[in-house]
Amino acid sequence: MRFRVPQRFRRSAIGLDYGATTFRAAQLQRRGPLWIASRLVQSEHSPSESTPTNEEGAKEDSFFERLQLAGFHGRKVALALNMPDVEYVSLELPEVMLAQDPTQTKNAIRFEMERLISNHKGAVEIRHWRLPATNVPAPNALGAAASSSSITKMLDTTRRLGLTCTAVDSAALAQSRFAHVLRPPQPGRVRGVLDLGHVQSRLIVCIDNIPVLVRAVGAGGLILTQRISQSLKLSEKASEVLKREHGITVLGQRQRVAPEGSVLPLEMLNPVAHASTPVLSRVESSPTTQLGSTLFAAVRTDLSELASEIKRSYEYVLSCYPDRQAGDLLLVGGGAGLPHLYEFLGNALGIPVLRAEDCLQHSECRLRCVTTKNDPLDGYATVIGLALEE
Amino acid sequence: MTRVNFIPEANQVAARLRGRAISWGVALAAAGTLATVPIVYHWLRQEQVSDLNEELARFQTDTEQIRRDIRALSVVDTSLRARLDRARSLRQKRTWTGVVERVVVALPENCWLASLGTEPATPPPPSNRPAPSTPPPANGPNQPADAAKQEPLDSPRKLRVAGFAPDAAHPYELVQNLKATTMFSKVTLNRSVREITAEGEFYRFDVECEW
Repeated sequence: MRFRVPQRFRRSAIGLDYGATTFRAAQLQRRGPLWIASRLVQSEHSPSESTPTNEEGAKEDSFFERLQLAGFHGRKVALALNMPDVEYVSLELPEVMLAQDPTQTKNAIRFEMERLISNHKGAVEIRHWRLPATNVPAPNALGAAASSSSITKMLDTTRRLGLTCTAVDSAALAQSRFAHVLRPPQPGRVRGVLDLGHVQSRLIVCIDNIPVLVRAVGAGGLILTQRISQSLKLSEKASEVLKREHGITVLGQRQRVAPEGSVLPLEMLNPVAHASTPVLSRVESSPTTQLGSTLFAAVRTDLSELASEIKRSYEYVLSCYPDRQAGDLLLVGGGAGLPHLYEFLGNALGIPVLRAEDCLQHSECRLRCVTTKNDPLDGYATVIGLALEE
Repeated sequence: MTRVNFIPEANQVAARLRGRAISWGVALAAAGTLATVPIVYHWLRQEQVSDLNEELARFQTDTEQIRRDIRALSVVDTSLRARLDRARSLRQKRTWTGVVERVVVALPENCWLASLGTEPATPPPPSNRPAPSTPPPANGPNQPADAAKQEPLDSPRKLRVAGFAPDAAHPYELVQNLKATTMFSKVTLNRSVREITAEGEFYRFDVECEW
């Protein structure tokens, strides 16, 4: 027998993400089919500051008080593990094995995963989920492995902070849930969620909201800042400000972004081959755009590699699911706010590249929240995904 | 939506059991509280009834005491009323020196009195007296035994004047003089008869004066 608080009074667990530079927390409230982000909080900290994952822990007294002061309810929190703390492995298992007893299946997958994972030594926690069926030889399960010691440390730290950790989820799954609530997947399409983190960028490719591929695709925001700093001989702080304010601009290049809802064939991922794609705008030269162009020149290599990796990933997934077509790409994470990045990626990939802010106005969006320019929704993707309890 | 939880199964089971234990604890506490409410209410009502019964007994005792006091005060009241009546009766008594003086002044010359008395000569017996205005008190422990025997003194209603007059007109003159005093409401000559004595012939008269 379980006792449940009525839905309208119930609040989700607090989604917590103690990133490399930013601490974020979110709590949601359910109103019918909608999710209301009742509390969204972020605060920046120096990378050297201790995090809840460290055994030394953050300042115990202040942490819970900070959450309470921010208006969060309850002590239940959900945390996320991101790459490289969690390692994803595509598994191609015999259907007979997947159909057998769950315990035996788990044991078999554990054996296979321990053989394949490279980053983790010692005890690991292994989870897996089934992938959508396909008619070509392709992986049919995706395994995720996380170090037991890091999980135990997280649990101990949250306990010391006076919080109750109800779940340690994968950040990729949390972000895919966020994307699902933000905009339901279109049937027959492959959707991507690009998490532009501080150190690393990660791509989650989903089919019917199930992540089928999770991988690191390139540099994070820190690397881009360092490139600008090296190129323009500026301090990293100044470079960061420039990057955030001006972003990147590709001068003299037509922006080729497919309109939303259009069907995109696999070949369209090649930016060179398809000049017939609708042209939405042409970038004009101005002092601001010239500065953006300079910044772009500094990070061009990294962004091109990023686009190339995304393209490769899409191509791989589309090869595994030949009956599917390329869908939109959602940018999340702190780096998603880089001005004109989505235009660059849209131009390079030829698919609709969306920011979370843009999706909020969409009729199918089931998330309601209030954000500002200085506090965009992109960074909250993981914590909102963690707080979602569908 | 796809979801994984890297928390070890054993920890999850323990947390689930702990959560259930807390839920059951809360439920049992709530049920216990709910069950206690009517019991406590009943107990409080019983206490209230008990208090009220005690208060009623106290009131009854007080009432009994007040009744006894009332009875005692009634006796005192009766006694005081009797004393008041006696005082009133005494106040109504006339000053006999004044009465005798008026009678003597009213007596014509050469007449003399043979007797002067009141009627009735003594107070009437108690059975003839009217009932007191307040009801007689119930027999109480404090009632004095001789309270009923104390009767107020009654004043005389009539004055009888008897004497001799040398002339027949003198008794009538006496009556006129007595009436003129306005001391009496009614003056009646009851008798006036001629008598022959050794000293001569005289008229024996008997006058009755009513106040």
